[in-house]
Amino acid sequence: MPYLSLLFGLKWKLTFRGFQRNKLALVGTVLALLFVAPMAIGMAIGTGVLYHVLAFPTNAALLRLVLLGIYGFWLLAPILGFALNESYDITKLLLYPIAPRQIFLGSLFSSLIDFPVLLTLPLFLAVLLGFVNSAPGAILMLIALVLFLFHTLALSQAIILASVGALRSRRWRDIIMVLGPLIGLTFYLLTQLAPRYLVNGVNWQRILENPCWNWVNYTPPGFAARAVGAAYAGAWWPAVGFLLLLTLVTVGTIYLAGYLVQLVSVGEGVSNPVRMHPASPTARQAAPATSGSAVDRWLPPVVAAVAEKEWKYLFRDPFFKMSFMQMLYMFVVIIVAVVLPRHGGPGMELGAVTLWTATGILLFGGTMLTFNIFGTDGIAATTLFLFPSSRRQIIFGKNLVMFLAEATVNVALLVTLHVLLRNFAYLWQQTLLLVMSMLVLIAAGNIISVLFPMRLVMQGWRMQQQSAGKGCGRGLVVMLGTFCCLLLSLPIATAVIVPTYWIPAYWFALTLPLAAAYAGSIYWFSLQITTPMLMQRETEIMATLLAEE
Amino acid sequence: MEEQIGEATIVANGLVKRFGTVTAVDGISLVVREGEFFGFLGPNGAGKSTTIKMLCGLLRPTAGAIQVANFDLARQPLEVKRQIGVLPEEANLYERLSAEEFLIFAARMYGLPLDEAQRRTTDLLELMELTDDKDKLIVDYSMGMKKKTALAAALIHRPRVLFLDEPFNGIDPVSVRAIRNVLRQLTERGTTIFFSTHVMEVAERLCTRVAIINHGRIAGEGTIPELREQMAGGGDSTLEDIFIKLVDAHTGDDTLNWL
Repeated sequence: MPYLSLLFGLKWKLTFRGFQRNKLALVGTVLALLFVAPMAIGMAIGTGVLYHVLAFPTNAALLRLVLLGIYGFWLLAPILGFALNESYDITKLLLYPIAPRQIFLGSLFSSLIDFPVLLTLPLFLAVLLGFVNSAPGAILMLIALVLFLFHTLALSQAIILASVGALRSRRWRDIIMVLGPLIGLTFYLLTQLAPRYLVNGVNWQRILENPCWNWVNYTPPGFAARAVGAAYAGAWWPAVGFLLLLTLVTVGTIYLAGYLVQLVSVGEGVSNPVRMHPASPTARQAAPATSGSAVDRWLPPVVAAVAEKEWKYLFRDPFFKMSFMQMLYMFVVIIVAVVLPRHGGPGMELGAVTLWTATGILLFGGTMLTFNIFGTDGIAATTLFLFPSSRRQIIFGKNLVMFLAEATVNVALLVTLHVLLRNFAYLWQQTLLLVMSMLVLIAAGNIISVLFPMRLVMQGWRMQQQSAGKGCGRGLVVMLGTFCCLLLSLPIATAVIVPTYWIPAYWFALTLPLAAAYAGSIYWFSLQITTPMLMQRETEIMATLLAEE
Repeated sequence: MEEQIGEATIVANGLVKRFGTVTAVDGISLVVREGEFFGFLGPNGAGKSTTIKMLCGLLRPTAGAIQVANFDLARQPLEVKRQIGVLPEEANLYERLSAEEFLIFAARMYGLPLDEAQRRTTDLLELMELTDDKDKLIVDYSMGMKKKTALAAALIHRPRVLFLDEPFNGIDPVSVRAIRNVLRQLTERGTTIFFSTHVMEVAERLCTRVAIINHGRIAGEGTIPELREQMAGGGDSTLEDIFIKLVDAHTGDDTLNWL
């Protein structure tokens, strides 16, 4: 088919020109490969050795689970927003007079040069190395693995095509912003808890061969695993039988996907959940809080308008949801590290140092937000900077909401930590330290945000920060900023910690107001210098926030 | 246009904008007077949007000076922004607000009291036929609806000068007519409109004066009769004819024989 080579050529050019255009992406991919490729090869070596070492049918049972894992990854990843291959944009090709099935097959073959596919290949190679014990067996196993790969890729595409409207909808993207990190968090917890509770006395053979996995036998990974297992055992007819089943399923999947491409090509893409009428209630539902009048009474109009807008964004912008999930993630990591007992034994010695350290970690957990106050404005910064409003009030409005939101979350997490540790001795001191130091952090964040703005780019459920050409420079600035905040917070820490431990408590009456005044002064100073700086740098900030890839 | 409508409201002198080695705008000088409906025309990539961005303070010129409503843009940017309303080429809105919330936000940012902001928001939503969708988040709007929201936000503080970059792109004909009428009324009341478009018919129908920009330079400027005069054998030529002559465009009449 002439179109196959044409589409393959298109894929080749798109992949390599993408790297030519964006050298940073190339560096990122190389770094990711340096990290991921050893993992993929390590897993391949590990499973290959196990296939070899384990007796039949335990090794076939392991293969069944490995193939199930690969299958699950390929089916779930696109739904969670990871574009595993360029074929995600298959609909772009529907303009041309090429049969939808040809477009689909072209994209399927093209995906063979995608990194995720290439990184899966060592796992298949390990199957061959682990199981091949005869020439006919090798041929049958190779066919089984190729069919399984094509079926998996085809089904992955079919799922994307079937839900193309849903996957591209704003609501789904908002959901996966929360869902993605939650899955990550669950995985982290499982990897942390499993060794603590399961390592001793676990019979892995029983787990692998447990009848609860038998349902997998009737799925494509099961067909492939059973074909390989039968070929390994020299049972040729069952092996051919499972191959035929797999072939049927693969051809069926390709036809199904081709049909879905046809549906999309005539504008009948399935399940677009964006409701156009009646008017979505989202706006009203998600906007509690700052009812105009109360805020207006207490704040200047511009501060009130900005604060109200920011407050609504806290509930509606996926970046904030993602940042909150990140803070939660960090909190769970702290809990796992300090609260849960290790290997069934007693927990780590929970001295006060742990709690003070946790306070510090919570404090710096929000730097992604505080060090990039215009990031969430994105391209709307053009609108923001068109207003003739006081820049000081704009910054203050943003800071006010950020302070209230972060303080609420941080204090809630801190209290939860104290409850879990059943140690309330220093709760109020740590709360005050946290809240006062946040002012210092927000002050530094204003300066960093104006001098080094960052664009936020949504990729799947991840929101990436891009500094439009400054590359690692911004990362260094954030590190330096964090270090400066640590230094600037030292007087506050001294004012809280010294009377707590070393001098009589009545000294708090002097040190706490002084610390509050100090934190307030730092913040006031930052407003003084960022206001004129913002006026000067608005065009540069807009250029960064609007920068194209 | 024979008569001078009013005092100079937009004055640009020797505007230059370079992006690296590319000169997008190359020494543009313009004067637009109060109450004028000034059309700014040019082919794609001629420098229209760059010029508008510089005139409203969204882009810093490499060289040149700008005065809007008698305020120097470089020295008094907030004063200028108080006098102007801007509809950029891309409607860069706060998409996680509803249209109603966004318009009230915009009005308050211009210093309008809350009740007045609400009153004007209701009127503008009505004018733009967005009332039924006012509670929907902007992110769920079509391109035309976003553009209408942005235009409403540009009008809400009753600006002295309006910068409109391709205002009718993607907007339905009914709304176009309604907006056109509003813009006409505004110029009658003394509002100056600086308007860029590709659509010659719209420019011909609305503009009191036009400038045609090509390769970052002004290729022609004046009322349409004046431009006809400037063109040899102008006679009854349309604005489109004048435009094509001034930008020296290749119309493709003598090529693509195979087509």
